[in-house]
Amino acid sequence: MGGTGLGAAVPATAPAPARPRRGTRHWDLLLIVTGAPYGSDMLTTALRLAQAVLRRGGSVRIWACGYTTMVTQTHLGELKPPNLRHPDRPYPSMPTVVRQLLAGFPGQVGWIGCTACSGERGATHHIEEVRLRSPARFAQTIAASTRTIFIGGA
Amino acid sequence: MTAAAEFLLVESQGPWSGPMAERFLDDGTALARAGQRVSVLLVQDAVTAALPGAAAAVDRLAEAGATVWVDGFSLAQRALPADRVVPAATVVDMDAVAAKVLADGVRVVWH
Repeated sequence: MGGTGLGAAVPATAPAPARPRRGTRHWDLLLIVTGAPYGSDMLTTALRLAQAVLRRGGSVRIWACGYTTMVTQTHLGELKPPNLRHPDRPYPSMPTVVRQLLAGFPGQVGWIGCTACSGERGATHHIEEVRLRSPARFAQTIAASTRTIFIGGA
Repeated sequence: MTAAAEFLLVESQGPWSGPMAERFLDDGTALARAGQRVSVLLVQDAVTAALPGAAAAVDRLAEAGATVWVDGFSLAQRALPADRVVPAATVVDMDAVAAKVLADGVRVVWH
């Protein structure tokens, strides 16, 4: 094999853990949220936890992964389709909910969209508040947070 | 494990969803019996595990000394009165959960 390509020997030493770049901001909490947003109340729970942490003065980053990347698409508009039981009552769309969260706690919260998960789903038109990030920076993002919680399935 | 750690285990799946929910709760029981400080939050469908007779794993958690929390919002969404949960469980809001998540030395595991 010659030590290169498939079948190459695995180095005896494990790679060093990712470290945040010098000068990188540190966050109190990273929520990695994946899975289908409307399959359960998972995303509601994640957002409730984020809001509660923010109300306590903590900082939160949300990494939207998998199907959760769908919720910040611009074509969802500002409002949900009318509720037939209350047609005159406006209900904010998910992009609006995310916008309100970010605007309500300026500087305390960030929303990251996974580029790979977005691309796989054709979910490539996010609201401008979403910061797109490659999964290659996943470990670095985790390293920049005091604690990380992974919520949801694949 | 030597030094006592503190764990917050968050169960979001109902007891009928399969064996993993019960196993996850039993992981909490094992940690508590090993001397670790354990809190368990039942949220979303998992709040039904706190109803009397619904999940023996909740009883085992309490017997092992773990703290059992039940999310009040999830109960209300399912039209379950807060006073219906087993006496060993405490109904909490997300502010209490956030305080625990932010506390030093607490490890959070979500299922």
